[in-house]
Amino acid sequence: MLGPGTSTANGCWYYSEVCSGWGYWYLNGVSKTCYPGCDPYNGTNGKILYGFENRDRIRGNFTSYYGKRYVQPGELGMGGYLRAQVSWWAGTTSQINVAVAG
Amino acid sequence: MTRRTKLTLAIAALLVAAAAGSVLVTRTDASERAPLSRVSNVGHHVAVERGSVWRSFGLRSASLLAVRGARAIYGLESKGGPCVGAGPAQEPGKLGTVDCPRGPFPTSQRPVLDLSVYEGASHDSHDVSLYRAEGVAADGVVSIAFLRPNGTVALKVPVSANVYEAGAPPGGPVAGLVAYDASGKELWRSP
Repeated sequence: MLGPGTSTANGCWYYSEVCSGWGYWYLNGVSKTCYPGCDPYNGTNGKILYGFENRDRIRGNFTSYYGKRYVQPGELGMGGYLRAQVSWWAGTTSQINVAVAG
Repeated sequence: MTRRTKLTLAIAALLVAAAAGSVLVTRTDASERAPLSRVSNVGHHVAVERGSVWRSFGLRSASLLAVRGARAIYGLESKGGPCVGAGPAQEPGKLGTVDCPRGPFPTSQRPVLDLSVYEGASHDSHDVSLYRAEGVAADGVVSIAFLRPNGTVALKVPVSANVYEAGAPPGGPVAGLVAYDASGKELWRSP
């Protein structure tokens, strides 16, 4: 569950964020469910930012829709030693499954 | 003609007019919505990189929708349904990002799938700027505007062959996007 105040408590960029440890990551994959409910077009009220971060910035794509997304650091103009991240941005709590590959 | 007959005829005429109006309104609504439920650009087939991680995620085929600047935008088929993706233009078939929405796309309620990259540089605020703008839009969408938090337009990009892209967007905070039709009417606003 990713909502206001959700944290992995490992120094992520934002307060309401889950992030990996530091690594030379290859891919961040995020699956967002319909929790707590979808509209008829599979939109939810929970908006998330998913991507990567380093010591200087956080970058990613936004979504509030049910579905699966994958992004590589190079797509975000990033590389090197990074954290994969998913941040709560707005609205209701989102249910996500996230995995990072390195 | 009796008064009662005249009244009956008048009511019948009103009912016919109402029914015709209803059909007209229904057809107009349907015809306005239809372009927002289509992506006519089917692109042309390209092979997804052999042995790439994308194949293990169930991606079956890729169609190059357009090349814009340094970017290639793809329509994809996966075992879970249609997806969109993007990657560097100089390496056709090399995907860097994939979005697989569950459910219909596009629709009048969601005519845009935004793959734009946003950047935050402050830990304390949720202000983000645009690092790159790109995405796929339904037939009826002719331009996309990225808005400042105060609602003014930071960047407006045309949609051509269902694709929009801007590789060097202006700096400063951005707080959403709006899709317009050919007449400049707002069709959709990002959640």
